[in-house]
Amino acid sequence: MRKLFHRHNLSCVILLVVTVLLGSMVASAAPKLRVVSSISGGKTPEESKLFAKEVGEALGLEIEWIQPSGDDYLQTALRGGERFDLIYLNTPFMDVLVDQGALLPLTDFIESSPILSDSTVIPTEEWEMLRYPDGHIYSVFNKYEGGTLPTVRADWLEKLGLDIPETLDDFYEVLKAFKEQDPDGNGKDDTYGLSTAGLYDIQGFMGAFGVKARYVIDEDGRRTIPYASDAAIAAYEWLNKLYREGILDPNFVTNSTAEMRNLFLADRVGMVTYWDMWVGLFNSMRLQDDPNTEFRAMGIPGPVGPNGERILRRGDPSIWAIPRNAQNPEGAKKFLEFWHTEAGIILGSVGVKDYDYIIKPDGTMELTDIGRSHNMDHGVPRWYNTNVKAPFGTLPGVKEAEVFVNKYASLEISGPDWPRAEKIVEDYAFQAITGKMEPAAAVKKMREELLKAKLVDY
Amino acid sequence: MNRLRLRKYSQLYLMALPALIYFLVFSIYPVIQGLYMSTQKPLLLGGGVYVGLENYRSVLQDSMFWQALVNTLVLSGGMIALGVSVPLFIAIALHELPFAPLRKLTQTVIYTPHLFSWVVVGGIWIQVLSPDGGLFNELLKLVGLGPVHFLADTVWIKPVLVLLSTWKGMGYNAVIYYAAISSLDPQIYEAATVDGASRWQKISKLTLPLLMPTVGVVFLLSAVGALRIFDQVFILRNAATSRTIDVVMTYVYDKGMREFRLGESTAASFMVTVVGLLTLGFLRKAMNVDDVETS
Repeated sequence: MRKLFHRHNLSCVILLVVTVLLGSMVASAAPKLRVVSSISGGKTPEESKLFAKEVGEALGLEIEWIQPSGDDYLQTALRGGERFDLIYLNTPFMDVLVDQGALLPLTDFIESSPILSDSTVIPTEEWEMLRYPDGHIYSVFNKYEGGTLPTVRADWLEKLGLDIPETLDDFYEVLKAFKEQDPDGNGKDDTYGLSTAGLYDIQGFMGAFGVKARYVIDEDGRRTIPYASDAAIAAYEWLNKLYREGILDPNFVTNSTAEMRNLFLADRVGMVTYWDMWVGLFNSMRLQDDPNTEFRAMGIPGPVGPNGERILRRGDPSIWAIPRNAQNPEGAKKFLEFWHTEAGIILGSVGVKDYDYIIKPDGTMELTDIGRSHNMDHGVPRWYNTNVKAPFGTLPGVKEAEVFVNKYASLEISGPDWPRAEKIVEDYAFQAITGKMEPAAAVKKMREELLKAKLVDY
Repeated sequence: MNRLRLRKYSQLYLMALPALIYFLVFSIYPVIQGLYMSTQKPLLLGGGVYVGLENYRSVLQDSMFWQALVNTLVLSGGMIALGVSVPLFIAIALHELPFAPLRKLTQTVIYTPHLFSWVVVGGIWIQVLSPDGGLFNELLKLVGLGPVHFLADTVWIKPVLVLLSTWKGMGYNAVIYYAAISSLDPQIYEAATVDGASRWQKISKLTLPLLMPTVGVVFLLSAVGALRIFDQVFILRNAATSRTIDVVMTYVYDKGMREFRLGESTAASFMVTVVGLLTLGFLRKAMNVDDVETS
């Protein structure tokens, strides 16, 4: 009897093992897509699962959506032998991967894709931003990137009876008033005119002096960094004046972008320099907190230079690419097309159906509380596809800001040497702005060091 | 003879085997891999191109590496000097405290920062030292001094880093010293009391000399870790101070993770390891650690 029981038990175990093995074989036979994106996807691990399920249902694939918290993960994982089908990148990292032959060329796929080759989905000229000297394109846009520009508290301007600033002198007067005239009306001297997150984006102000950020390459292919040119001296002097007079937030050196945003949202500062999309997000956040708020953020072009010039910064494209060792490149291509269709755009912007939004009986969409708090951004707050209308309209102030970005913003050139050059540039730029060095001396030293390190040609 | 000894202790060797395998797999093998990678231009999807000693040459010709090395020596010098001496005085002071509950409370308070990660400590001190409403600057304001941005000022940042590291680590070293003081033979002190020695004489003529071997151990431990300082610099650096406080390990990080030059990053890391081992060997020799251990 006991023997029989043992034999019975053994057969049960064998049966279980065989079932599990067969089950896992069946599961692995289903097409799978491994996606890595630190930006696009759900806002929480739970929502990311829903997000992956939604993508999977649309593509008929099993999706593994990996959302690392930082940028370092991808490099480490790739080097560690992990194989992904689709990766979300910034352009400097794409440059490295293309240089190493690690990405699949997508030129033929893009040209033959009825969706991606449609100029109403992605304007034809935009692809040139992603084309390499070998003629190939190795990636597909994630979204329309927009640009950065000064964002001002329009309600404070009105309250203090000030006009929208145009020239550098106007900007100075407005920022000074924000500092000194108690625009938040709390009776305390606790406001600043301007805050930034380091030198993350002072392009709007540097533009008034005709100075472009990062590298500029001339017709002979020689590189220079305008922030290290004599033209930048007056710009540093102007910023130093703001710092000296307490108009510029003293924490601007150490601020993270989140800290800078919080200062703006908390009525501590009247102007920040940030993404055009955030004009809308600022307004939306404050409106959610208090529907009767007077808070009104407004994107404005930077100060105009003496020759009428203005320069704003266009964001580096965020992109999707397929590694050469991808196991399901065809599935990845299906995703890239889907991402630019209406369904993909709704998912990347509004979010997951029945979680971020519901469809009402009359067929219209309605945001849930969660969806409202996500501000219609799941990686694609804006898109190129002109055939897809934003279901809830754009956030207040974004359209107007976009006009300035489209008119004045241009891409910056980085290259592999920029991280090293950036340290030298920022070191002396901060010393000039905070008054530790005379701006002229700082620029001279900056240029000398860049030349010595062969990081610029002139 | 050796075979006999092997047989005699075979069970002990067998028990040590898992630990040996662990070190071979998780310590020795990665080191060999790293050494191999430092002679390559590694590719992110695996493999690489052999470049010989090119990565080492490139690092040695990089002025930022030398700047980082100088910063490392200055910062670690300060951290060792204060990190070894300040806890010594704290431990002696604690030992002299007659009221036990107060002694324990002080010990706990001093030790607590050691339990926090640098992320937490950095967050706290960024707030405390902020020129916009930070506690320290508010105090300065009370005495009529202007705000100082300690964490963005190239003059202040090094002393601040040294002081914060000392503040965070002093509890740990103080516990080591305190344990050493507690284990000193009380009869020596009784004899000194009978001979009419004052409290100060007991500290300077007995406690301090008797603590010197422990001070040596704490110094050695601090010196070994000195070249590897990273967390505090990584958390507290910013664009304005980066070049003033970047150390060799942040250089290694930047090379690998920001510039994607894994070969150079690994080469720099190896050079630091070699310098660290040489320093350790030199210190052990200079301090006669081996003689002390075998005697």
